Amino acid sequence: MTIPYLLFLIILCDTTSIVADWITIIALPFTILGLCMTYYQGRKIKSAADAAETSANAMANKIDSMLTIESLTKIMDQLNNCDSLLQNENWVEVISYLRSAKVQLIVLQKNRTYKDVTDSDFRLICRDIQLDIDNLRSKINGEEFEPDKVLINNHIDKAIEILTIIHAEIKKKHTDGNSK
Amino acid sequence: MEIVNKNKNLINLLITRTRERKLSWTITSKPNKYVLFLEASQLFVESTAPRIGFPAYEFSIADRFGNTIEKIVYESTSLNQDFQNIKTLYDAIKINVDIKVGLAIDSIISEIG
Repeated sequence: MTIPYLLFLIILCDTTSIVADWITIIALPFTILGLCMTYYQGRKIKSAADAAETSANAMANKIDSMLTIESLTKIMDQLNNCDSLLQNENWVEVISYLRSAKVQLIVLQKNRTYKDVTDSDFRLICRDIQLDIDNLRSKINGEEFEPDKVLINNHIDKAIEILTIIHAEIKKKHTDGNSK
Repeated sequence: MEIVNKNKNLINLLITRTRERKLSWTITSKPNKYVLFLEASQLFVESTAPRIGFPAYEFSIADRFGNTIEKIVYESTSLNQDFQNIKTLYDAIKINVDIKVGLAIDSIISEIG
């Protein structure tokens, strides 16, 4: 009784092993196909994420440009008013506008590079404006002297010139970006 | 070296270089105040005499951003060598700036003449 039972077991094991081998062979292409599909889906997700990131960056740049244009317009308006403020000897307001202009110039210089405005232009105008601010501060602190309005106006004109060039450059980039 | 001596040396050097016209001093929007812009700092020399009524000069050193690092006031009440030195520097600067203006006028005359 024992011997036939052992023979039965040996035959059963062989059959099972053969079936397993066949299943492995049949499953292999499906496995490869599955891997390919996973890879393809991964690629699709990555390219969609990249596209979303590019689009988000473009939008952020557009918003940034628009905010800069708005801020530049405001500061140029303020600087344009400085002439009459200087004539009326409204030193406090002139100082406030000069400070805004200087801060804006520093921010612009740090963040970007411009074709028609060099770092040296930024540096020269910032130091001239700072000097005017210091001198006008002395004036409002009670020092008796007559500030050189012509010289301050020259510095303001130079600042307006630089801001106008940058304004035009940013606006052009913004318009070009929209038309694409 | 003490700061006082360093300042003396600096003022003496400024006198020499200004007389040699190697330094480009600039007028500021405050009368009687001149500035020398350097790469890492700025120097100011100002005659405060018209304001306070007796001869006095202010010598200031500022960093590249215009923040004052040191300010020394030289008054004529102590008629010492330091006062004479700063007065010499101020006069040399004034001549230097006047020469610049004179040269500009000369070039205009030669261009339109």
